[in-house]
Amino acid sequence: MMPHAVSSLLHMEQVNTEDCEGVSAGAFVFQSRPNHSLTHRQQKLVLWSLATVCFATASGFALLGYWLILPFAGLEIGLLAWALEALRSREGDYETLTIEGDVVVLEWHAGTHGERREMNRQWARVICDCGTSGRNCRLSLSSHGRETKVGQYLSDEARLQLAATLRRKLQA
Amino acid sequence: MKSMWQRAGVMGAVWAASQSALADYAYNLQEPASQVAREVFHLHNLIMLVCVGIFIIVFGMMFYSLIKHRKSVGHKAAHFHENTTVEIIWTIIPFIILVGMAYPAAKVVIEMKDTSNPDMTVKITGYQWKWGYDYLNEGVHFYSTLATPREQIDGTAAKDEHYLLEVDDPMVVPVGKRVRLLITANDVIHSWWVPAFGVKQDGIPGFIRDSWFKADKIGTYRGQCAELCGKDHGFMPIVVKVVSEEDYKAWVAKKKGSAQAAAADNTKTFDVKELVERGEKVYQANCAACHQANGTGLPGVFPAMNGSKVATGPIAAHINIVVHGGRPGTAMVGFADRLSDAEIAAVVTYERNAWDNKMGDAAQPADIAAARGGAAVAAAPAAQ
Amino acid sequence: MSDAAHAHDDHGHHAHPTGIMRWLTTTNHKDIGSLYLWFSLIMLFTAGSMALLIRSELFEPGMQLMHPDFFNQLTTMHGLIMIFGVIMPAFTGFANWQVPLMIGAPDMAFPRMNNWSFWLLPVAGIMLLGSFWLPGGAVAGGWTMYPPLFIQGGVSYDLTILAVHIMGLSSIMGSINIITTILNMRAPGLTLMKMPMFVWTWLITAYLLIATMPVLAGAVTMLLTDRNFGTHFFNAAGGGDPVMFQHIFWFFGHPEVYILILPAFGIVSQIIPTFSRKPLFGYASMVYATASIAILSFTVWAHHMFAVGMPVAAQLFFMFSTMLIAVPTGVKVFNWVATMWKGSLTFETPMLFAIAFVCLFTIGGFSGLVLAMAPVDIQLQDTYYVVAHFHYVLVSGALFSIFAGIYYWLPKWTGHMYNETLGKTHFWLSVIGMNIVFFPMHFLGLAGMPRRIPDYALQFTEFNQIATVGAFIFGFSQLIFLVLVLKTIKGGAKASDQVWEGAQGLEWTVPSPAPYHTFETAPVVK
Repeated sequence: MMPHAVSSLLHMEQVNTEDCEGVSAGAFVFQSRPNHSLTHRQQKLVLWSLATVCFATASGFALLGYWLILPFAGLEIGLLAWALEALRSREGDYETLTIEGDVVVLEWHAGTHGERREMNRQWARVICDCGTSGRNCRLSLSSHGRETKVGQYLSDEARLQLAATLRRKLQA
Repeated sequence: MKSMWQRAGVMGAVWAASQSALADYAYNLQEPASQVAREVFHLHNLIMLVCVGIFIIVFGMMFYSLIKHRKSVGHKAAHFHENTTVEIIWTIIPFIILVGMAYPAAKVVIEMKDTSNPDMTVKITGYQWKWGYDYLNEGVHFYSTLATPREQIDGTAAKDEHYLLEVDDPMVVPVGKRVRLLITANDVIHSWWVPAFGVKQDGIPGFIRDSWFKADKIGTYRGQCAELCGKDHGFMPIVVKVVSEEDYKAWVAKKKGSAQAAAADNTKTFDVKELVERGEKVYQANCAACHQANGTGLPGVFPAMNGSKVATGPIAAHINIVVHGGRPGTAMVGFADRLSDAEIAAVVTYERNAWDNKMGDAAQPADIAAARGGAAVAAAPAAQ
Repeated sequence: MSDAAHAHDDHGHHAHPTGIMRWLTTTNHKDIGSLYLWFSLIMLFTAGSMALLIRSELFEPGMQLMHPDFFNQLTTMHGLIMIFGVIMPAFTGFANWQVPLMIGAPDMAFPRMNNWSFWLLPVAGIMLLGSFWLPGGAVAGGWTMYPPLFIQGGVSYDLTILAVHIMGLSSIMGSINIITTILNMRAPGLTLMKMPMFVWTWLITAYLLIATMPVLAGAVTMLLTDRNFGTHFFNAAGGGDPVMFQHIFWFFGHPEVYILILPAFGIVSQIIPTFSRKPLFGYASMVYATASIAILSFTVWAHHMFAVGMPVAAQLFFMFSTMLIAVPTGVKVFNWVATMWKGSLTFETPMLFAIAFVCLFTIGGFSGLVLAMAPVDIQLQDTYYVVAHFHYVLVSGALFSIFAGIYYWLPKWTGHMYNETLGKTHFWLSVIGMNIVFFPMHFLGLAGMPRRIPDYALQFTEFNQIATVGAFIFGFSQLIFLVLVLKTIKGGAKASDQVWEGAQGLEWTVPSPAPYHTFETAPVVK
C-alpha cells in the first residue's frame, strides 16, 4: 500500500495532550493510537457467520453434483479472512512520546515494525513542514541528523498543535 | 422513425377515439375457459381488491399528511417516534391478511397440480421454433408452426385479425374432457401457455413435466411460448381448437389417413423437379427461420445455405447433417424425428439446387432411410 | 462529481499525480465514489438507449427496425448493464462517498483494494459492450443466462461469462471493504444501533453480496465448462439438469434483488426524516425489518420458477415464504409514512423523489404480492406483468432513490446548490414518463403478452404505443439530470455546511464541499 493509503487505513484517535501532562509531575507523555471499533468477538462473528452461510450453500449444491461453487466460496472467505487479519495486525499500533528530564523517548509500533528511540532533549529539534497548502503536514523529531516521524495518527490541525506543544516543552 | 413521431402525434386522438371501443383495452386476465383458470381469475381479483384497499388507506394517510403537515402552512413538527404498540399492530395485521390470502391460493395450487384420472393424454414437445403434438392414446402425431405469412411480419401485407397467433396445424381436443399434458422440449427450454386454460408449463429438454386442463366451451384458444427460446421465441404460437366429441373423432380419423399417405411416400422415388418443389415448402417451414428464405443465413449466427460447403459438397455429408444435426452446441438439430424420409430427401435436394447452388443431384427417400440407420459416423465438417 | 471539491488540495508534500493518472491511481474514497457514480451514469445512458431501441421496435406490430436476434441482444444487454453496470455501481458509489463521512472515518478500510474494485468495472463494461461487434453479436439468451439456450451461443457468451466474473470480483472486494469500514472505523461512541440507516442497509447488503457472489461465480463457471470443456452440469443428455441452473441462479438472484433495493431503503430513510424535520419513526424496527428481509431472501428463490413444474409441497413452501416478505416490507413503508405524519414537510427535489419512491415502490410491492400467489404467477410468469413489476421496483424504486440521493448529497459533494427548478422539472417528467411506460405493461401482461418478444399480436397494440411514448418522455428527461449535475459541479449558489435545515448526521458537520480529507481525527459521537 502507498504511504498515503497506510495513513488513511488507521483511524486516528487523539489522547488529549493537556490530560497527559498531569500524569506525573515534570514528565510529558503523549500517546496516540488508531481507532478500532471492531471487537475480537465481532470479528469472529463476521467471519464465521459468512463462512457458515457460504460453505453451507456451496456444500449443499456440491452434494447435488454442482461442486464448482465450493472453490469460489473458499477463495472469497479466504479474502475476507485476510482482510480481517490485516485489520487485526494493526490493532496493537501505537505511538508514545515521553519527555522526562533531559531524555526524550519516542516509541512507535505499526504492524510488524516498531522502534524505540531515545534522544537528548538539548539535541532534539522539531521539524514541521506544511508546504504551501497547509495540508499533509510532516512532523518529526530530529537528532544527530536522523528524523523520526511523530503524530502519524493525527490530523493536520492536531499535528500543528502538537508541534507547538513540543517546541515549548523542548525549550523549557 | 419519422412515421413513429407522426403516429405519436395522432396518438392522443386515436386513444380518445378508442376509449369508446373498449374491446382493445383489456384490463384483466383473459376470459377463463376452464375451472382452474376461473379460480385463478377470482384469486387475482381478490388479491387486487385487498391491495387496492391497503393502498388507499396507507397512501390516503400519506397524502393527508403531505397536505396538512407541510411547513408552508405553518405546521410544526411533532417529535414522537418509537411506539411499540403501533409497530406490533402493523406487523400483525398484514400477517393476518396474508394468512387469509394463502388459504385460497393453496387450494388452487393443489387443484392445478392434480393431474390424476385423465380422459386422454397428449405429449407436447417444444422445438426451436414450433410445437410437436403426440396423441398417445390415438397415435396421432404432428407439428404446429406459425401460419402468419412473412409479408405480414415485414409490413408488406395487411395483418390478419389473428396476426402471429395462427398455426398451420392446431391442437384439437374434445370439450369437457380432462386432458393431461406431458410437456417436454427437444433443444432449449420452451413454455407451453394457453391463458384461457390457466396452463403454463415449461418444456425442459430431457425431462417430462405434466399439467392438465378441461375446456368448458367449444372454441379456439390461443397462446404463445412463454420462455425465451432464441431468435423466433415470439413466433411460435399455440392454437387449441376445442371441438365436440364427434368432430374430435372425425379429426383423429383424418389425421391417421394423412399419416398413411406420408408413409407411402417414403418408399417412392421422385425426380429432381418434384423434390425441389416439395423441398421448398419443407425448407420454408423448417429451415428458413435460421438459414433465411434466400439461403443467406445470418452472418456469425446461422451459416448460409447459398454456396455453402455442405450444400455444394458430398451429398452423403449433407444428408448426415440434416438427419443427425450439426456440431454439438450449435442450434442445428437433427430432423430425423421431425421429418419423414420423403421430406428430408426433398429439402436436401432443394438446398442443393436452389439459389446459386445448381448441383443437379437429388436425394431419394431410400438414401435418407439408409442414413437414419447409421449414427452420425463421420463428424460433420465445419459448416461456417 | 467531486472535481470542484478538491481542485486545490493537491499541493501536499507527497504530490498526487494529475490528469488521468490521478484517477487511475486514486485511493481516496471521495474520488472513487465519484468514479463509481460517473460510470453508473454513462452506463445508464447506454442501457437506456437500448431500452429506447426496444420500445421503438415495439411501437407497432410487425418487424420494422431490427432483426429478432438483435432485439434479443438488446433486451439481454439492457438487463445485464442496468443491474451490474448502473444500479449496483451507483449504490457502491454512494457507499464510498457517504459511509466514511457518516461514520466519521478518514477513508475506507482498504483504499488500494477500493481502487481495484472500481477499475475492474470499466474492463467488464467494455467486454460486455464490445461483444456487440463480435461475430454473432452480443449475448441474446436473456440476462438470466438459462441453459441450454445459453450453451448455443457464440464467443460473446464466453466473454460475457468472463465479464460477470470480473464484476463479481469487483463486488466482493467492494463489499469486504464496506463491511470492514463500517465495523472497524466507526467514530468512538457511534454504536451499531446509532448508525445512520443508510450505513445499516449497506452493511446488510454487503453481507448478502458476500453470501451469494460465490454462487453466481460457480453458476456461470459451470456454464463455461459446459460450453467449452465437455462437462454436463446442465445437460440432461449427460446426466445434468437444466433446471438446476435456475435453482442456483435464483439462489443468488433473489438476494441480488434485495442487494438492488436495500441501499435504496437506506437513502430514503435518510431523506424522509430530514424534510419532515422529525426523526425516523421506528429506527430499531427498520433495522430489524431490513435484516428480516435479507434473511428471508434466501428462502424464496424458486418463486421465479413456478412454471418449471415443482412438486406441490415446494410450490406451497415458496409461495408462503414469498408472501411473508410482505410483512417486513410493509413495516418499512408504514414507518416512512409515520415519519412524515405530523412532521413539518417541505418538498425539495430529494424529498419529491423519496415520496415517489415510497408510493411507486409500493405499487411494485403489491404486484410482487400478486405474483407471489403461485397460481396467479403461473398465469403471469414471463409476461409483461413481470416486466411492469420489476421496473416499478427497479426504476421507481432503486433508480429514483439514486436520484433522490444525488440531489440530497450533491450540495455537500460539490459545495453548490443544484438548480431547484431544473430538479423539479426532472422529477415531474421522470415520474410521469415512468408511469406512462410501465403502468400499461400490467394490462399487457394480464391480457397475455409474453415478455422478450420482438413482435406481438394486434390486441396489444394500443398499450404498447402508450408505453413507447412514455419511454421517450422518460428517457429524454434524463438529459435534464445530466445538465443539472454538470451545472452544479461548475457553479451555483454556495451551499452551507448544514445544507438542509432538518439534516442530522456527521456528514453535515464537515464543510461544503467536503474537503479531500475528512475526519482524520475521529469525532466523538455522544
